[in-house]
Amino acid sequence: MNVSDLKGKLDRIRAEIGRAVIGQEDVVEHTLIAVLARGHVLLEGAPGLGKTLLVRTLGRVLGCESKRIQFTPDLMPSDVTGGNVFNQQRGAFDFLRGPVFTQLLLADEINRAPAKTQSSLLEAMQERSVTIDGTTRPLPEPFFVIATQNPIESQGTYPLPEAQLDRFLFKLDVRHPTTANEKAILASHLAGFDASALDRMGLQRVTTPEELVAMQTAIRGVRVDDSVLEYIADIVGRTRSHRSLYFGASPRASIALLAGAQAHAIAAGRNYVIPDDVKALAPAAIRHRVGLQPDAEIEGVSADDCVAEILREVRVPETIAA
Amino acid sequence: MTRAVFALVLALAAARGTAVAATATDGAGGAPASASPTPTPVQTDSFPRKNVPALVKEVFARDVSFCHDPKYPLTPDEVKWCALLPKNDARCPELARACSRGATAELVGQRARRADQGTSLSVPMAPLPIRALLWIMLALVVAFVVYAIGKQALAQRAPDNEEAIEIATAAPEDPAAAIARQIETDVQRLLERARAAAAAGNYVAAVDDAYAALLRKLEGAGVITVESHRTNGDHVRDVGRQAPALRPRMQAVVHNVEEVQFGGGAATESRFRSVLFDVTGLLGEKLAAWLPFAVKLALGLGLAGLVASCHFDRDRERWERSTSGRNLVVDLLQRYGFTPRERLAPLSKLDQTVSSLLLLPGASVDEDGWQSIATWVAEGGTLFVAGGNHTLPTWIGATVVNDAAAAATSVSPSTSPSPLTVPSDQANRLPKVSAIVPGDRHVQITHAASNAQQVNEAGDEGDEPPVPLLFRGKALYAVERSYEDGGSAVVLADDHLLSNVSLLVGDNALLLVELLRPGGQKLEIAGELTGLVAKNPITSVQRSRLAPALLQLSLLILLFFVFKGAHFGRPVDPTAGTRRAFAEHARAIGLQYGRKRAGRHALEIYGSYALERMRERLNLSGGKGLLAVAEEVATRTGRPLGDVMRVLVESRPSNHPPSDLERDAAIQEANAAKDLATLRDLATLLQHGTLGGSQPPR
Repeated sequence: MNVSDLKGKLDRIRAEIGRAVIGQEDVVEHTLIAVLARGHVLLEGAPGLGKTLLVRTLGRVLGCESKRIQFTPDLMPSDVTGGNVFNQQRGAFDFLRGPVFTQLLLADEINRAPAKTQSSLLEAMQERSVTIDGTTRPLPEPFFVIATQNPIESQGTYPLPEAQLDRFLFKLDVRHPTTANEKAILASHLAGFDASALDRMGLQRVTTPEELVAMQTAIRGVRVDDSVLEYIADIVGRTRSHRSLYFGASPRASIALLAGAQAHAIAAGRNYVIPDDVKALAPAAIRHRVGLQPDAEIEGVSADDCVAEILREVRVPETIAA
Repeated sequence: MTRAVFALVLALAAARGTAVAATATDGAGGAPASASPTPTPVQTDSFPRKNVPALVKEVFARDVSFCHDPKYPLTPDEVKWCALLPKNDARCPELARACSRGATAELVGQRARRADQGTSLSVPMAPLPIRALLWIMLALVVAFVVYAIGKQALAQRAPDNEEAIEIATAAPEDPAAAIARQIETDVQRLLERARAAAAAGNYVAAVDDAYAALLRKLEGAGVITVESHRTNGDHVRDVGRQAPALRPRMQAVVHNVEEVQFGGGAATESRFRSVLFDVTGLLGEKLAAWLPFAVKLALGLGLAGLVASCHFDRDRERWERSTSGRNLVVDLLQRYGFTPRERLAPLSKLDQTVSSLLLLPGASVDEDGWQSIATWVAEGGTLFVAGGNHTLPTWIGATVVNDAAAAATSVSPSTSPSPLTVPSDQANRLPKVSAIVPGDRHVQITHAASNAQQVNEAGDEGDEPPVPLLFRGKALYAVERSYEDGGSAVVLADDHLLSNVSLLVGDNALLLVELLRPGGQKLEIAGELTGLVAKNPITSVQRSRLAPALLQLSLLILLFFVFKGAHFGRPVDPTAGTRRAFAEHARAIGLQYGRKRAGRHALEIYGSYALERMRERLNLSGGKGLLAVAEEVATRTGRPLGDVMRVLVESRPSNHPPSDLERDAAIQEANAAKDLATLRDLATLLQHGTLGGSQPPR
């Protein structure tokens, strides 16, 4: 699969998603890049912004088996992973697969469940397998988690632990639509659009799971120059010494940024990464992997502000600026 | 002037404490020295006599236009002088020929003034170096504009055909050149270097240099900003914003360059040619340079206009140099030893630094002005009134009469000018001269009537009346009145003695000098501009004719700031509302705690409060310990007991002082974050573990 094929596929996926999801182009773009980079996405935004719709549409267009878990305060880890259930007829334990055994998992409102339930996804997201009672069971390929959460300021939510956050390739902020987009959404609903009945929209499946895996594999062949690697390392490294950050991003952030940049290059029709790819994805890849100093947090500094400041400080490779 | 009036004036002068030592006036017939010790005498230092005819010759040795131009246009008033001029005057050889042409100028600027119209000496011109500097600046600005236009035109004609991609031969690049590559910013040199590098087979450097040339060109045109953190994509987007039509071509160049830089693409000759072709094509485009170019052009034109608008008042200057003008008179007075100066300040502020005041016909004197002049004369000043339509105060004792207009006058107007003669009793005051001026005015003494009136009112009859100083035929041409306190007032029938052409006639120059001499060196000339003090800045700007210059300067400043994109003031956040939410106060207090690193203190206080509330709400007030509270809260919230217990324990006051390690700044910062997290946990437990509701966040 060459670059133009990949780009063509992505363009078609984008167009098909755009039929159901109006606006949110950046979120759609980043989500597709994360899927290509074999990463998971955390969507954060106020209720009603189309997060769930996006994931459901994505599952249909990608042709992947998708399941949804509505995270609630009383959700238990076994409700996610499944567990051994005693079969009285056979007199033995049978493994009952949980909803995590799917290709596209929608973890809706993940921050409404306690940390121990959230953590049940750790192994699945990182190792793409589930270990229960000493038995490790692989998850189907491709496998990716798209989690949604309300802003942590909302009542009755559990902030995700740092270890859990680090498993997400990108954290994307879903913002309110523009007036024009909102008008288009209203017009769409007026025309009969029903978010709960996507079947009736006739969304086309653009890829198969096999094709998606092939695309993910092809992404790894995208060339990355040494200077770009250095650029990535420099950006991530500076998060560890930034005055407003309590802790910086881990090497996993560098890896995520690299993988994302490769996918971004493909999306742009290139088989090599340029600094623009890195720069475009740095906020999404880093913002959830850093912790703000208490005073910075009180003063209203955000992680995005810190990342933007770092991007302004780091020298882009091959620039002519003195 | 009556004694009473002078007494009042002197009392005022004494009250101001301005008394200075009296000085004697010139002994050649000047105003008598004051016998009174109280008045502050005007300084009238004597100065030696000089040879006036020789000085006049020096004055006319300059390039006087009316003396060297046989076609010099004369007005009817000026032609009246022609009959009085000496024939074949070597000092002014061509004036006679100009006179033979008659009056050829009716309206030539101020030279066509009416007989009664006042005139004054010009404001001193800006010194020659300053004017030269202004003209040099103007020339530089024009040259810059021409250069900018030429450069722009040449840039637009830059060849974009295959010939432009001629590869020059050059020596291989050395390390020094490689270092210089980092800072080269000249577009043409970058292109030449790119061609040289290509000739040397170093196509990687050649592509880089060609691309750098493009970026520098775009930067110079104000389309992009080259900074170390900006990527090629940023530059493409900038180009797309300012010159959308060029974006695809820019994108193509960037794609080619990035393939070499990041894509591992081979830097071949064909790729270099492709890049160079695109780059030279883009360099030949207008880009979006019109904006900075327009700004530069506007700045240049504005500056040029600003310089050009410096008002030299050429009409006035030309009049001053004409036959009716006064620049030669002023020159003569300066050469003689006077320090003539045009008075701009109001006459009401006349002081002792001035020894004599020459009142020209154009001067406007109000009541305060006359009062001030009276005071000044009382202190020893010498006033010269050179004709005009002034309503002279009674203390002068004389007035000017226009013979042509005043048919009822007792003195018949003369049809031809008569010579000026000095009465015998004034032989000590003025030398015997042969002087003559045209004109139809004379002076009339009014002292008798005035004095009689004053005697009735003030009982003062001690003043001497004005005495004739000069006669023109039978009519009085000049009178002088001296006051016993030292001052004097001289009234002339007109100002013709003060014109340039008058210096050529007989002993007019000598007569003028001797008339003015008793007044002392410090001569001030009051004319049209005297006292034109603006009451507000707008009037001041209007009178100074600086409005165009100030407007242009403002426009220039505005354009400059717009061009630079600078703020007109310090950027500040929008003003917050006067009423703040309670949460903002809480945040502000928290911020203070954070800055003082008192998070631990806040946690301990809140911990004590929270524990009490928990015991109270959970009904555990029977001496139950922390464990009981933790168990109850853990049960209600579903959180692990250990977790709840940790939060409760960590929020309790510490019994031991902080160790040296804990005083370390880094440790303190880490602990602050930990305390903040504990505080939040505790608040959540208090809210959800004791009051119910939704599950608490961690």
